[in-house]
Amino acid sequence: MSWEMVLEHIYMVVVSCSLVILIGVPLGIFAYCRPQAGRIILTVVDLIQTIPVLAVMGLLMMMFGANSTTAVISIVLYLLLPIVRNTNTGLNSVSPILKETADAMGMNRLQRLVRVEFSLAFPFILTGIRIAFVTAVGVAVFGTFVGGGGLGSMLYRGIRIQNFELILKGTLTLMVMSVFFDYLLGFAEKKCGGAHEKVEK
Amino acid sequence: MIEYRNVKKSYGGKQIIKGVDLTVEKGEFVVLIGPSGCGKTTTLKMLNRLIEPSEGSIWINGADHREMDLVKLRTSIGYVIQQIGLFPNMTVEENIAVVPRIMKWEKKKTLDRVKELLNMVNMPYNEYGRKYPKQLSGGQQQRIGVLRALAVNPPVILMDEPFGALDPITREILQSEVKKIQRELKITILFVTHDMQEAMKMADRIVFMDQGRVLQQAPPKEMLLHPANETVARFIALQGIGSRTDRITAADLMQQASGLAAGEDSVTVEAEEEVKEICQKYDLSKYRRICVKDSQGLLIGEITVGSLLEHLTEWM
Repeated sequence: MSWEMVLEHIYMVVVSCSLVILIGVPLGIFAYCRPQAGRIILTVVDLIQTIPVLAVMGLLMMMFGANSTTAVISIVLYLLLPIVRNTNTGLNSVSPILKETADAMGMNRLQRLVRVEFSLAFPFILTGIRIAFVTAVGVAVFGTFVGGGGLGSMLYRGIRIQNFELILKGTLTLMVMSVFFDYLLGFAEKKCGGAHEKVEK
Repeated sequence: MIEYRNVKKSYGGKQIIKGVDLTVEKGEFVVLIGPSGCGKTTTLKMLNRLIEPSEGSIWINGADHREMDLVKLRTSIGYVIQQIGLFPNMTVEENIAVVPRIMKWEKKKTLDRVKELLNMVNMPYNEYGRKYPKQLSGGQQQRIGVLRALAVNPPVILMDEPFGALDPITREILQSEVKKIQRELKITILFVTHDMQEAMKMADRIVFMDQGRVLQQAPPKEMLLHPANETVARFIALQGIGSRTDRITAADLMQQASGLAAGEDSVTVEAEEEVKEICQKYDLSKYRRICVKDSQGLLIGEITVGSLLEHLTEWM
């Protein structure tokens, strides 16, 4: 195991997750604001999820060549589901009474979206992001097949030469990475999402 | 200042509001009451265009409210609903400052106003300003709801069963507070409730609605004494108001007459005296007539004990 592999892996995870947040959250908001188009978006996102990651990577490799970009794009496609869905579900779960109250106060559509709906949906969105990061750590393992590098190559090699120690090391590193991201984002969730949920006794 | 002109509302061919004509004067406290589904909330929400009328028009200060700028219309009409209406993601301060922010008030001015309002209900800013609605009791939340509606001094406030979810004691306190604020600031309030006692306590005028129509508009006492028809009477009786005779005075029941004289068969009371007190104070079985005198001591009318008893049984 080399630090290079770990860094490659983290690179794939962080870049793909950042991209998927930048694409997925606005897509989820759009799907909420335009329910008809939204149904199509959600169906497409669902469908993408059903294609095996390895197949997506293979197909994309034909277009983009064997490099980490291909891996990153594949991961992004695969992770759209939790982000778009959670954003959409979060927005839809905001009480209609609060939406009406926002209207009654004189908020325009954008003010209502930003100050009421998005703000209240934010804990849901953070949960989606958390799921995305943890999933990305696992999915990025396949990156090695399309030249993305990362810890996948270590696992792959371990399987090829039937080296138990190599497989175990790779797996443990991945687990530590997952737990790290999960904890980090769990902390962020508590910080940002829960302020108004706390009840002082 | 507010005028509903033959306002109708239909949903999918079904007419919910069947022609409401209603005029509300400046500073008046009007309570819309009636059984659930009578259209009172719809009538209320049509004023700030949360619901658009299908037919007819609503005029505010001589202008058709559909031709007014929507944001201007809504920021000039305060809105209070049950406590769920506070934004849970915002602090007390932020909740109160919602409308000032929409109107782009300066920060300093907003903060001063928030502090002023919180002081008005004895909830100091330092203690409560940064709290979230969930950290407050139901009564406190509803106070903040009222303050939020008052923030920019709107001339009109709409209240949709604002105290429905509160316990009776808190409800009574808040009713008094709102009534006091309304009188002091001369705000026009349209208030929806299904609670007749609440209506009696708050209203200058009660508008009784049923099945999308206004059945009766009258000041509380008049509605109590002279319900326009069976539906109104039954509604009042069902709510137990019948046994509540407070606010009804001797003057309300007396028959005007001149040349009266008090005699052995009569007792003399003040015109302003409440019927309930009269019953407690005198043993009415000993008398046949109750003579009513005005503040100068002049006899101005009489009530026969028979008719009083008749009224009392009716109210039971």
